[in-house]
Amino acid sequence: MDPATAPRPATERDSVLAALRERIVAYAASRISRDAAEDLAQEVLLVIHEKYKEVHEPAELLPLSMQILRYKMMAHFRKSERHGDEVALEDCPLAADGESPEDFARRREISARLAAAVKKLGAECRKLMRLKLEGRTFPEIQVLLGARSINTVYTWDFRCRKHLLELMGGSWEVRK
Amino acid sequence: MTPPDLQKLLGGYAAGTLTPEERRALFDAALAYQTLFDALADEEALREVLADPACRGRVQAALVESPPTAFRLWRPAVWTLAAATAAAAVVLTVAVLRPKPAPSTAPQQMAMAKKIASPELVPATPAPKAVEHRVIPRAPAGAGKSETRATRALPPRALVAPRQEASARGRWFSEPPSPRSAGVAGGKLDSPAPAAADAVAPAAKAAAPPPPPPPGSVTETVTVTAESTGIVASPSDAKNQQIESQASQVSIAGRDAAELMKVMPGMGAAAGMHGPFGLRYTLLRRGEGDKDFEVPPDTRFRGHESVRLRIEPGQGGYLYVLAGKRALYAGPVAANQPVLIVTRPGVLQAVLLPQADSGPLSTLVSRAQQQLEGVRFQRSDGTHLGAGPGQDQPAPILAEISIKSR
Repeated sequence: MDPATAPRPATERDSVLAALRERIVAYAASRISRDAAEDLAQEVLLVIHEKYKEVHEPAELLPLSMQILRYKMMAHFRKSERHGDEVALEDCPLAADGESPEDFARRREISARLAAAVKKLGAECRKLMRLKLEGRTFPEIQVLLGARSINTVYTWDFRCRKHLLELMGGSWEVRK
Repeated sequence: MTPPDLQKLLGGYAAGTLTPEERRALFDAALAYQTLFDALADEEALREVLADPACRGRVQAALVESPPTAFRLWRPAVWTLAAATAAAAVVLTVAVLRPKPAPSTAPQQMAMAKKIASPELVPATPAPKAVEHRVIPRAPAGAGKSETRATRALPPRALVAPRQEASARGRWFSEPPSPRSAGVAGGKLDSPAPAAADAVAPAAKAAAPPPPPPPGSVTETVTVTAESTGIVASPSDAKNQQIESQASQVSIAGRDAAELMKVMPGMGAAAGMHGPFGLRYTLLRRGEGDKDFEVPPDTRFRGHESVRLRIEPGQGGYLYVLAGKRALYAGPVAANQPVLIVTRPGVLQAVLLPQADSGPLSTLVSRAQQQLEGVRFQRSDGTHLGAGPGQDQPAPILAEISIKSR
């Protein structure tokens, strides 16, 4: 057998990417068509393969794929807004290194909505969120707030986050 | 942990505060469970926002601001009342303690004082009565038409009482007085330099009755105003005097921009710029009961202590606060609406622009410095920079804020 064409043994990276593909397809299919979701997952994995060959750790691969997936989906939605629903994913550009004015404006819009929403939170939730934004980890917050267990802090944060999400209309982003 | 338990870690993912163990547990579970993966993907929008220092600072500032209470709603009125009371007390103190002037033995000084005064426009008909600090259109019969023209010929600033104008300028790093306004303060509307020369005219000249004006023309009379003597100056003197008053404001306030460097006041005469153009900052330290206290600008903070920096622009525009190449704040600001930024000790660059900047942030400071080239003038102590007269566009304000650490 030709060594060049011989199947190489699957690595941990390959198995992680395979699982990622399955998750991305399922996630995207719930928002766009199944065929487009398949193509989109392929695009995401292509970017990871071409640009991030050196990334192997699952703890790095997953957030990386999340970011690329987000860029690709936004590009898809932008295209479909301009040209209708049927969009060839080949028309969507790869995630650019720089930031587009649209991305900047969208981020500013979310932060403005977020700033308005956090003002409506209760005092305890505001304090918890402030500590988080100062970079405190949950164990540190547990000590600072005098919680009995770390699970108590998790629960507080989960409820506060849920309340904040409700204040923002159920989504961090503006759904148009 | 079960997937429902792991969902509680989502808030930490967006804020970037998960420990390595929590991250690994969350990501492993996300690969195994679709619901967790979906939740994590939806959280990406928030994570992206909070990863931006400017957006994060904005949310932090909103968290620091406490919800309005009854006291806070009344606080502006309380401060206004306190300021008015303090001002009244100062005026009364000065009035009581001020020594009465000795009987004048030099009538020449009286004559000189009569020449240093606020302007007044009157029609060609000689006016028997003089008014201090105000331009009062007279309405003698038959002279209404020429008065209207004269009033319209005045710039809007000339209608402001000189004393009010001077005090208003002293509060902020603001635009330098235009020669026209200095001329108004000196008693002339259209030729400021002769006005200053007239101020030291001999008594005989001042006491002599003015020559009758040509028929149909508009002239002006001056009156004795002690306050206006502090304003009368040539244009260059007036500029220096204004900057001195700005500097004293800094030293009196203490907390104000003591280290504010390279201040470039914009030109208030530009289109849409009607007020002083500047910014001031205040350092706040979190004290007991989560209350913020103002501290002097030379306060040394702990190395990783969170410092609250309150920046109050004197004019609306676009504010950029940079820490190296990171933007702590970038966005529009309104006049006298403070912006609160949570940061660490270090050197920050604040740039206030009249319009949004379209270039890269990494070169914003250098571009602002280049824009300041050629329009700067320097105070005698070399610490302040300002726009020179004749500048058409409002200049940016560039300030370096050094927050010291132990």
